[in-house]
Amino acid sequence: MNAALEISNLRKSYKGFVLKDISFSIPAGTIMGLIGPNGAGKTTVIKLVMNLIRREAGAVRIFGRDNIAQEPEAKARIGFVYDEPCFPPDVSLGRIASAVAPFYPRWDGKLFARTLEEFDLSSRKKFKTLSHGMKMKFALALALAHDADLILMDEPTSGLDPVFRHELLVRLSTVIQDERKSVLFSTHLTSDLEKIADHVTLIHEGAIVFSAPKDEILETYGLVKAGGRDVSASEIPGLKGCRHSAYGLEALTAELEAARRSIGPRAVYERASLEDIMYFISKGEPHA
Amino acid sequence: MLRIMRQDLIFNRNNLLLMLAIMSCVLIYFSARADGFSPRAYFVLAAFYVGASMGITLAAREDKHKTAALICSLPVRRSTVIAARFVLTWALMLLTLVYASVLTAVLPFSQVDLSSAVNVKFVLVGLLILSAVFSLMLPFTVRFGVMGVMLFLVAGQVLALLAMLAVHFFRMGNSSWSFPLRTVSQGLRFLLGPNSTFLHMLAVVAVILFLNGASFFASRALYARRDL
Repeated sequence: MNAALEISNLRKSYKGFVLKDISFSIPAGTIMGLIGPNGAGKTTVIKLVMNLIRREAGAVRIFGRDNIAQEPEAKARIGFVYDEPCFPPDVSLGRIASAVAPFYPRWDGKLFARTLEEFDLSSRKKFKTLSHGMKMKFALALALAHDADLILMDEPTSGLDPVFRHELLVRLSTVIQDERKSVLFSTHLTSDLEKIADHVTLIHEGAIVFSAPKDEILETYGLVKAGGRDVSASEIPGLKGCRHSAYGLEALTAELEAARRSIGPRAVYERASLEDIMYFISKGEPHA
Repeated sequence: MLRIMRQDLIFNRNNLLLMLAIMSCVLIYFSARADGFSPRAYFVLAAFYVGASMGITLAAREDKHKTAALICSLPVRRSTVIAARFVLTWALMLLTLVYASVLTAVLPFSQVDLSSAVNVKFVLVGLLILSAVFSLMLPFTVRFGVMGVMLFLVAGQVLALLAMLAVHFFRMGNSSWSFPLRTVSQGLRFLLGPNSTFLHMLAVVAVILFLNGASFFASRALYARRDL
């Protein structure tokens, strides 16, 4: 399967933070969720893909093109929605669109006007008068209007009301009905991804924990819950993190079936949600 | 490159119109006042200065509103963005000179003799002075944004103030400290005077090209290395 985005051994360091040689790819026609707690490196990855920050090592290929050596060709196929859209505040939405449109050969003015209408935005409004949600809608309308094959969204749903969040997710699902299109969606709101993502990449402290199809993750990861001292954490195969409370042990395993076979009826087993996985991996005690 | 220039003009339309209004007032003032020394130099410098300021304003506003991330996410190379800024700044400088000339010609109370003000020597020397200032200023603006403009202007004023104090209190007016300034001043007078030749003007053009070339490559390297 052709990859919309291939990232290999990407490295970037800041004071107190290192993105550690990360690699993953997004198959064309899929939605990938990039999850991780705040400060994990999600925005750094997206900025590196967009060449907004300089990489120290590694490679990024967008539909087979290097994002630096073939920057204009690669970026022409990307629609980028920033976590904090950065358009000039005193310029109307229509004028912003007219400034951006000539950069994209596949720009569709009618589609842009229609999307603005759907999102209840007037092209006469100045950017500074928009709320955060409206700014995100406008950024998405721009990304959709140039018929981007890869849409990169950095925390698009944070700060949005549930109605628009739902609307956005439905819209993204519609976008990938066209099998050429792909979406990379970074968020810490994992419930959004459980609804629409095909693949999930978890990043923690600058390193990839996993990058796999969502269904595979939700099938293999699970929670093991045991009361009192019935089970010790070291007994659990594939242990990824655990916490002890007054009621006993709660642990995340990456091998749910193996844990079930090994521990048997001394514990209860549940499927883990993406939120559970993110919580235990970032906050749990791995060797408790 | 044209698309970047067009985008810059669209995003900064109101600001450019405001600058144009201010520039018109400045030019009307200078064209009405032909007394004092070198009104022609004031005229040419004012025209170029305002044009070049517009170029710097584009880069500073980009930093202020954090629109660099938008521009750098478009399908263009960063070197193209800097090249477009250079071309636009030069276009604005030359357009403001044309505008200033037309304005001065139609103003009934204008005291400036256009044929003596807009001659090759004045235009080239004006461009030389402004190229020296803006060639230093643009890399600062590209690297540090609005703060860079402030740093440059404040540093320039502090240095000038220190030079004035040194001359006043330590009687350094004739010392070797003031030698570079005297040399520059005498050089400019010579270039504007009747003894300068075609070869001197060619040398001025070469220096203008060198300054702008150096500034362009420095700005391009700084912009390419900038993390947004």
